[in-house]
Amino acid sequence: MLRVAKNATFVGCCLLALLAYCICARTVRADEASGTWTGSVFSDLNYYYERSTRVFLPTGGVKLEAPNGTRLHADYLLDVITSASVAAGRTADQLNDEFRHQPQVGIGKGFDIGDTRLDLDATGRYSTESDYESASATLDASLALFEKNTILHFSGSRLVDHSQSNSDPTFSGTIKAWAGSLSLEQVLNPTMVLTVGYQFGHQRGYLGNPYRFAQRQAAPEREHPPTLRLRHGLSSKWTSYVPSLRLAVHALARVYIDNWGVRGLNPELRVYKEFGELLLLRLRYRYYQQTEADFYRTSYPRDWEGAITSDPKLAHFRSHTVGFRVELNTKFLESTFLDFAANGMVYLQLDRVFTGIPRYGDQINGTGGGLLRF
Amino acid sequence: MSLRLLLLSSLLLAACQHVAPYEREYLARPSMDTAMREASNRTFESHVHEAREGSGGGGETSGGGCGCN
Repeated sequence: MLRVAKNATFVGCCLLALLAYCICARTVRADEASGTWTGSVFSDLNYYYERSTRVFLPTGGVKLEAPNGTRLHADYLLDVITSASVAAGRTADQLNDEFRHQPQVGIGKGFDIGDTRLDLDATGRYSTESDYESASATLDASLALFEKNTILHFSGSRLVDHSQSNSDPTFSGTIKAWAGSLSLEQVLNPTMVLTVGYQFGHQRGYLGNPYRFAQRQAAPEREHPPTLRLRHGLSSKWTSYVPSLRLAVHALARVYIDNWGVRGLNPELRVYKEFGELLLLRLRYRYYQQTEADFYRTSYPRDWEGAITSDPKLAHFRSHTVGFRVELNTKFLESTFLDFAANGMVYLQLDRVFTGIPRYGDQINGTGGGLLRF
Repeated sequence: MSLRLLLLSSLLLAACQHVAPYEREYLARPSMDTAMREASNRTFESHVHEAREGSGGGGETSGGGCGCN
């Protein structure tokens, strides 16, 4: 716990240093003369359902942009687990028995350097629950070149987690992780954009779940997967607008490989249809498949040496996701008594995941929320 | 395979044209520029993927939460 606290302090120091720099740095912006602050607030309620677990996840946040271009953002997430997972050792539903709190703060600023724009953003996040504590710091940088026709984006994160077991006071686990991504976004023509990216992850420590037990010759044994995981992903996104139909097509694809032997493939198609200036409908289909980890077995022989796990997400499986999202622009509230909310939107999203994991069954993910700009 | 990808990428990039700011009308449509509006939901979705898919995560980190590890 002390290590996580130290990491959180480090994150705080980094953010304060960046804040000082952003306040002192000078850039010329249109709003600087008027001294106007702009920003937005949002609030979401996410819901996750599967046979063994139901989660309510309310989130809220605010973004502010100062007249000198400095951006501040903060949000808070509450994870309310209504029925804990069977994987966590529960045998019956227990209402609202687990809570996770996750505050996150960040600061950023854009810098114009000739025709190029450099955007920097630093975010610190802390997550706490009864048996798990996590702190992370993320630095994002993007460089917009050639009148924003080409955007290079870099992201780097450092994370330290500490886990305990509520059923076994002797257990203690730590994860230290680095993650990074690089992407290139290229405008192809006035209606088309292509983005390609690479993601990397390095995790070291206890990467299992202390509540999950594998079967070794019919006897339960706490899982202990390898303590090092190196993850690589390649992603692409192609977006195209069809003016005559007022419709956009987003085609996404991701391939993944790691040193545990898991290989993933994940294509997705999203179609956005605009109805007038107020309504936007999104339909999506997502396919996912993965191979099993080298050391994954449903049951291990007595003389098995090395890592063991009973994590269903390390088995071979595939899933299909279908869903929709509706966004309503609140511009229609102009000149009414709700005029203050006219610059925003409300949205509703629902996805159904047909998964091949028998233990979890199909999933339903839902989100409802709103965003207000000022 | 990687050679084909490289060739395809080169062809796509060679085919791209410079788009001036006044030509970005369609690129700025809400159906094209979804990143900011869907950001909060993407966080939730990433967390779900990381909890239920072996290849979730990778370029990003999210600690804690049900089924997180």
